Amino acid sequence: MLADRDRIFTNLYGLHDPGLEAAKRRGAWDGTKAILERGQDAIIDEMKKSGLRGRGGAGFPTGLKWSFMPKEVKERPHYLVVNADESEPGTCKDRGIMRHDPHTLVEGCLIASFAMRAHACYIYVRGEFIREREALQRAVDEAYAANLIGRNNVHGWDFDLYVHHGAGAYI
Amino acid sequence: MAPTILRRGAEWFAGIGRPNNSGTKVFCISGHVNKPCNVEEEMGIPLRELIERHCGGVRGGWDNLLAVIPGGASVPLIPKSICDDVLMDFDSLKAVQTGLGTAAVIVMDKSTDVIKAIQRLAYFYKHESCGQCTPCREGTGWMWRVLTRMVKGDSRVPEIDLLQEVSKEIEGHTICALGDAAAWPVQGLIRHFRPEIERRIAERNGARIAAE
Repeated sequence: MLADRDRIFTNLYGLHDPGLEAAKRRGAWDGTKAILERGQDAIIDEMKKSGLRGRGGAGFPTGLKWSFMPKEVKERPHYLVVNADESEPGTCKDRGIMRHDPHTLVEGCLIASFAMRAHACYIYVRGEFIREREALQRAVDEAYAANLIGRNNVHGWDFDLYVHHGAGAYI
Repeated sequence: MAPTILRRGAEWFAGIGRPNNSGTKVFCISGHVNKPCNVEEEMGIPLRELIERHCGGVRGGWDNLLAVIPGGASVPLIPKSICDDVLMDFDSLKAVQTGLGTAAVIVMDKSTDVIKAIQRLAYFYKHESCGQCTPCREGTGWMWRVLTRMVKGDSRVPEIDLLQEVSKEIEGHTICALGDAAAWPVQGLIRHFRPEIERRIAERNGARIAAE
């Protein structure tokens, strides 16, 4: 059984405040700048070593996936697109994260984008998830206001994050 | 997940669960359990432990379990005999011809009409098919219509093989994974509950002969 100290999502049930200050107290945004300073290759190596596989269904190794991005950005920019549609019947794992622990997602977007040299990220949220979209947008706005993301942010990697919602479909 | 892994180190994450199936996972357990819930657990936790520790057990006790869909609607179901000792991770579930998928565990007890359940899923996939690829556009509707008849036993035994064959024609022949997702639950039903489909066909035929 998983020990409480090993939990990644510590506010899955919404017992605590989802806001930025509370999320920071739970450990989010801690030392993010130091992580980015390790450089892209070190981050991807670490992800490979961790053995993390995609949590969405196919289980593709995450580190390997990130390493597929070209090491140099040529004439066309890189983007990160996050699938937060979660329309598989029976599934509601991402929903709790978006509602109650959205800063874990926002921080993850920054690190993943940095690792694949993307300056912009789009999160596609399921059309039926109205409150989740609002909660996520609130977290994004907080992160912008605190200069954690955006142009000339404290992490030294220009990064724009957009929340986009669908119209209600299974993808 | 990535920020925590980078903060705590790859070794920490790799140390949870089994090799190649490491880390934690948020499981969503729904259906015929006493307390459906979302819970973050270690990869590779036994299915039975997951249900009994976090969800208050199957409604009516473990022996009342019929089948479980272990990874969201799109993966094949597994009957109780497999549920007894299967581990919840990518490779263990793959070994029993299903998948971890999104780890949405749908529990069905013995009151479930399993053919009707899969028929309802087939209807969902028929509705959601975008229609771009022919195997999926035509196949999902066809499978739904056949299953709708099978719920009542209005079929013939060779049609079960035909259904299996058609599901194999859909699987892997479409651009996106919706075709696979529509085919797998049907294949799971045939793999594990073929006797139940045959029983209904025989029952209906018997009733028809008796009526004549």
